[in-house]
Amino acid sequence: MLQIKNLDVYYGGFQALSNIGLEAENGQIVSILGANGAGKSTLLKTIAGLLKARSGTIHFEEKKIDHLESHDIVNLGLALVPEGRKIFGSLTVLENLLMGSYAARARKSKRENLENVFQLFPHLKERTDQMGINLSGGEQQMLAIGRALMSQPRLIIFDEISLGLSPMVVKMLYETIRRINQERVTVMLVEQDVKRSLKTADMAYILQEGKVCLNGNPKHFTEEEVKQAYFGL
Amino acid sequence: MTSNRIRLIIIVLCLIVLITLPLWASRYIVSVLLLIYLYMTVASMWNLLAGYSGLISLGQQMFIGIGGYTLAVLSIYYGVPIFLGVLSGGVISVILAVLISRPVFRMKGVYFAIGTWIIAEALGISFSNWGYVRYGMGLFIQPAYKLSMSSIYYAAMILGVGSIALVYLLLRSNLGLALMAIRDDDMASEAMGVNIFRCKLTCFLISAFVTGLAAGVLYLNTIFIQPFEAFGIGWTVKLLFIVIIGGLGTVEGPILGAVIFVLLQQFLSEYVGFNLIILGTITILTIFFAPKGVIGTFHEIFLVELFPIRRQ
Amino acid sequence: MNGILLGGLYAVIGIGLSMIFGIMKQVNLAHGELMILSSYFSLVFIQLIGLHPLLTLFFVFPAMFILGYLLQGFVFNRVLGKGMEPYLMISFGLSIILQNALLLVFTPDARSLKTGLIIQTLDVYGLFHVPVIYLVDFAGGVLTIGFLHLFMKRTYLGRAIRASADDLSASKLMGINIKKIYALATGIAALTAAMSGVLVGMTFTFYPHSGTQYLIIAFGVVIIGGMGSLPGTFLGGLILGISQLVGAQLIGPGFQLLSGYLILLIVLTIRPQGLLGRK
Repeated sequence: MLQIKNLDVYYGGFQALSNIGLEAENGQIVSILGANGAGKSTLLKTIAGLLKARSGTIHFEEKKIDHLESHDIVNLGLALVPEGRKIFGSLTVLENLLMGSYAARARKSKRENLENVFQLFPHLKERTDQMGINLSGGEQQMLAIGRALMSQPRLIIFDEISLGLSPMVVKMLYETIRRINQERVTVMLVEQDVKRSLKTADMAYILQEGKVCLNGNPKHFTEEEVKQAYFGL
Repeated sequence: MTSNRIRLIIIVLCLIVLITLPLWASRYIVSVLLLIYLYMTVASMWNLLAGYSGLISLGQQMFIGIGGYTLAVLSIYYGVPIFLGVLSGGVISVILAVLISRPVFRMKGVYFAIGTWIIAEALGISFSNWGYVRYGMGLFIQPAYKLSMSSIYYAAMILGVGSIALVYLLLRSNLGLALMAIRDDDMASEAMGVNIFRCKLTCFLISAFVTGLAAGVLYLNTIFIQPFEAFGIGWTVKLLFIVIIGGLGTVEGPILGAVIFVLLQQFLSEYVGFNLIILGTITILTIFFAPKGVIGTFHEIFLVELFPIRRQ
Repeated sequence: MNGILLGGLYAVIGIGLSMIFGIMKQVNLAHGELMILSSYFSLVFIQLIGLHPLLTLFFVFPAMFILGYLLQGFVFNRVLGKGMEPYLMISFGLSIILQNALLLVFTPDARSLKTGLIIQTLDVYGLFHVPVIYLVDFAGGVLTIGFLHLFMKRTYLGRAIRASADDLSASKLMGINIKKIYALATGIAALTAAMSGVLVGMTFTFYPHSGTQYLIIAFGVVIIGGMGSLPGTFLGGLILGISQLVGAQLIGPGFQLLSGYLILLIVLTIRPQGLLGRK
């Protein structure tokens, strides 16, 4: 479903990612881990088209997307729930969700999708007229996820969704992710919470200083290997 | 020979040519160069503000108006000797600058630009409603009739060369270091004890003074001053053109820009009305394709500067 | 009273500027000229076809929208992401080009869009006379702002514009093409310029250089009311309208503009973000 080969990404003169190779298959949950600054967010932003790679390729469902603009990538069925949620503060909950179905492919079925989102997050249904900026952290995260779901993605990427949230909320979010995955949506996760991440994922990639250090089925990782890949100890 | 020697020789040669100009060149050439000096002066002052201090002012014309009118009023009504009148123009301009500095410096970025523009417009309206300066009809600066072209030329030359030298020395001084630091990162520089307000204020006052002087000489040349023209936005349009084409933030930029501008003016004087349109279009195109201006792009490609301001 | 009605007109003048600042964080110095350009467009249609000025809007609206859209698309989008200075200077250059082009084509004569309304006044409770034309202006103002508000609230495009003002990268992730949205926003701003241009043309005489004074009025409105705020702009319009007429009454007709300028300068100094503006 998603294939990344030899990806190099630079911030000006600084090389943030070197020779990244990654594959996500249909229906999988793929986890991306690494210490702060290892390049996880950079990778996600590049996949979503917010950053451009200097070399390498990204293929989504056999289509080359590395040269496309974000708005075109979303239209192909790839959604990103960005780091820091980034909901639209001056728009209401409902308007935020409607923005999710801005992409042409999702407009027609917006009522259905809205219903689905409200089923997943009944909390949001009660707050449709509240302004985004007035929601709590957890509610904002739900809104961000709901918004991404509104675009009917076949691949959805979550960037650090547990940041600043209580364990209970995080548990609920991860259950939701599993449910989303059960609807045959491929999921990619970037997480700080290593344990939870490895438990949920089918495949994991650990980044260190912009390179893939360890990858494979996390159930086969040893603690030693993980520590090594994470911190280089 | 070291590159510094070469630079020095080039500069000295140019100066010799320029100083002796009235002796061998035609009246027309003298008058053209005169204009070039004056535009160069005002432009390098604008450049000091916009290119180095980060203050984009759309109201420099207020000093042109004030400088010009001071000269006019003093020499016509009080018989003040001409060049003292010019000097006073500069002084009154600084006073104006000081008066407005408090409020104006509280405005940041685009607000500063608009604020300065409005002040200039307000002054224009005020002067055109003021009987003392003959309302919108303007003043004829009679005492300037008896001046020779050469004396005006030399006055302009002193200003032109002087302003470039001034900017150069300023930028090589501590003030210049501070300005460049502010330009790069103003929070960090503040942490190092750089008083941003004072630096910018100094530049603002200097530019006001020099612009006021230049205005005086300018109106010695044109002899006739009117409020809407003197305080008009047209000045800023021309300055913008000169500095952008020449190169924002370079010392030589205003020189080249002024040369191009004055020559273009002469060439386009036949097509009245079109000239500002063409100026505007060229300016926009330059911003698209060569945002650093001729000199700026030259610096980038050839890495050579006539007036180097970085310490070596 | 007249000041309040005038304020409605002023609000429309300012709303275009406020939009662009709220959405793109840029200031279009050519906004005044776009207005006056609309006035001249209207004039052309009146002279060609003999329409009532308000009806010329049928032609002027689309013309200005396309102009605004193309301007953003081909000119301003080129310097996207390069900060405030390029946009400012380009818009400044544009305003000069437009001013002088108008000067060349239409000569410096005073013009106005003639309607019978300019002479008619309305007797309100026998207390004061209100020029009908001011009522038309006010109505135009309210209608325009009303439409704008509805558009922003109820349509996908309107929401997309608001979203991109909130968060640029999140908007991209929603499938919003930022370049197109900006072009659209500028087109809409041009529409408001068209509306205000025609109204102004009907109410006052205009010259090719009138753009500057209306730009400053637009700034006044936006700065007093607050950049990026719809109700704020309306409020700003009212305040400016009232203060201008009061100034004219107190000091003299030549000072109408001046008193507006003074108020503007004061607000700029004390509270640049305006009464209801967002920082």
